[in-house]
Amino acid sequence: MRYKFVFWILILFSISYLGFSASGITGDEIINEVDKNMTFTSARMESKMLIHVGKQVRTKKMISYAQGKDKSFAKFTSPARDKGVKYLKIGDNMWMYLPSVDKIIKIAGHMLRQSMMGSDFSYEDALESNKLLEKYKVTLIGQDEKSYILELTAKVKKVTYYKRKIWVDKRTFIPTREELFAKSGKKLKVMTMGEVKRFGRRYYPTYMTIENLLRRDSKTELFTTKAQFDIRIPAGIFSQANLKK
Amino acid sequence: MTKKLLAIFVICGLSFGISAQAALDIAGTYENDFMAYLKKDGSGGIGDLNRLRLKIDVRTSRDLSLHLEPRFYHVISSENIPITGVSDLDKMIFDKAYIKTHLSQLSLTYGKQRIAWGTGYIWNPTDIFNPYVLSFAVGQEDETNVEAVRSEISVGEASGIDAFILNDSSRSGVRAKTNIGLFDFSASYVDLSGSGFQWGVDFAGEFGIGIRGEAIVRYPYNSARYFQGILGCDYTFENGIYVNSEYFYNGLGNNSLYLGINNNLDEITKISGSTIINLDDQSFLIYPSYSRNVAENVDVSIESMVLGGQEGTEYNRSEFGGSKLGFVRVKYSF
Repeated sequence: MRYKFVFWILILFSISYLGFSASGITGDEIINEVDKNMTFTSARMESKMLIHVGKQVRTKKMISYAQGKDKSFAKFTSPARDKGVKYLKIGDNMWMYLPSVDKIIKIAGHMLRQSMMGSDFSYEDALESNKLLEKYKVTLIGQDEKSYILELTAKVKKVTYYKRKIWVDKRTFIPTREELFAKSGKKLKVMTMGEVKRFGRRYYPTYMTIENLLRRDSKTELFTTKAQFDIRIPAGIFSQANLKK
Repeated sequence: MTKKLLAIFVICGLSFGISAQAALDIAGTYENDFMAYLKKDGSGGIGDLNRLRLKIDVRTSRDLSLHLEPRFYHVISSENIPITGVSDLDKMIFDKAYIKTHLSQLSLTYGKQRIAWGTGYIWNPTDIFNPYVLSFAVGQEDETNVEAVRSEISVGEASGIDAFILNDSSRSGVRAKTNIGLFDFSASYVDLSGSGFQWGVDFAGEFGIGIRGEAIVRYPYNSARYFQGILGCDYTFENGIYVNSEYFYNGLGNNSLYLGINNNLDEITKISGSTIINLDDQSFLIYPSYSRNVAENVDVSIESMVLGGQEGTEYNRSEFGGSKLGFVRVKYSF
């Protein structure tokens, strides 16, 4: 009986191993494909956030621009209390503009962990544009019929999430679920992605949810209502001068 | 002032060509602040401050805009209560009224506007118009605005030169800023007209924790020069708790310290605590608060301020020194 159990364990391991080999793809290659979809030379998006706290819902709308991995700009257009607040990220520098005082404030790296405009997204979640391969070591830890399952462990110090577990759709190479962990191993957030649409040669999820597990009954939905990729972005968008325009 | 601005705006608008892009945007806030206080002699009182503020933007093109910010404040109180940062009650005034135009890398602003320099949270020695603001307690809209002509020239993405002159020529200044690595640096010069001048520097950046600082040397014409400076740092822990501190030396032998902590209980609820201590006379101000966004554009906060220390010290000097104050603020944005 005991030998039979060990035999089946060995068979299962062999099948799993053969499965990864037979797929002929490595974790790095999968993430590379993910990065091809999720990072872009330039983009302009219009988005709507629904922030759920218990039974209450808050809606926020924004317009954002991104160029390469280093530059992004976001401007909130509603609700009234947040209208006109803008963010600019250039490399590792980030600034926020507060229209009420007409002042640009530098946001330090540690503040990227803070909630962005009361949502479950941190500033880093919302404005992150670096390729995952540049910051994480990737291991393919499993797969099912629809997804590859990857574990990413930070190889640089400056990351908010030390470990990420990602389910990647085998057909579109879009992450469908992501679990984000602290260095202590504590699960911090869970993201899901869906409503994948084709934009030219890339797939992109136009619906996203994020749950902050450190908070009770809290979830944010992000709808991308309009997206344009690899477009020409007007000069001066990624500048402090534009924050005050 | 406002009529003059409107005339200039219309002329500029016609020269730039008022196009189909012309847009009018009206927004604003209504805030009700109910407050109660208990003085050290045991007497007390209540007050209710109503604040209505409109923000009107007319934009004829991407490069020309007019901003008007009329406000009306009305207070009902049992006696004259201390409302920090609030003046001109029971009349409509324009807190801001300016036209702004962008010409390539140059931006010009004319009219009543906010000129906010420096990186400090409580103390801004380089900001001659708002050098001390209880940022955790006072609405940012209530900071002092000035009538000036201001030009800002941007150089690259994060550098530039900012210069202003007040309409009455009593103050003028220039500030150059740049970004190096993870730090923003600025250097400034302000001419205080008949009373002297000052040189200043400020920075904000990070070494794992956020750090910021400002320093000025002021040269009054009728007394000896003196130095003022601040040094601050802040940090957000993995669990979201944010801590902030700032040290201030006022140049006249007085040292003060600000300490603050806040945490979001959920995405719409925040608690915070702030204190300012005069390190020389040990007087203090403590300011706990609880705030919640109760509806899409409605924020409610419950706040308290306790002033303490020996009789005659900085926070126990005036009639209201040593008092305990409580506030309930309701703010609606539209």
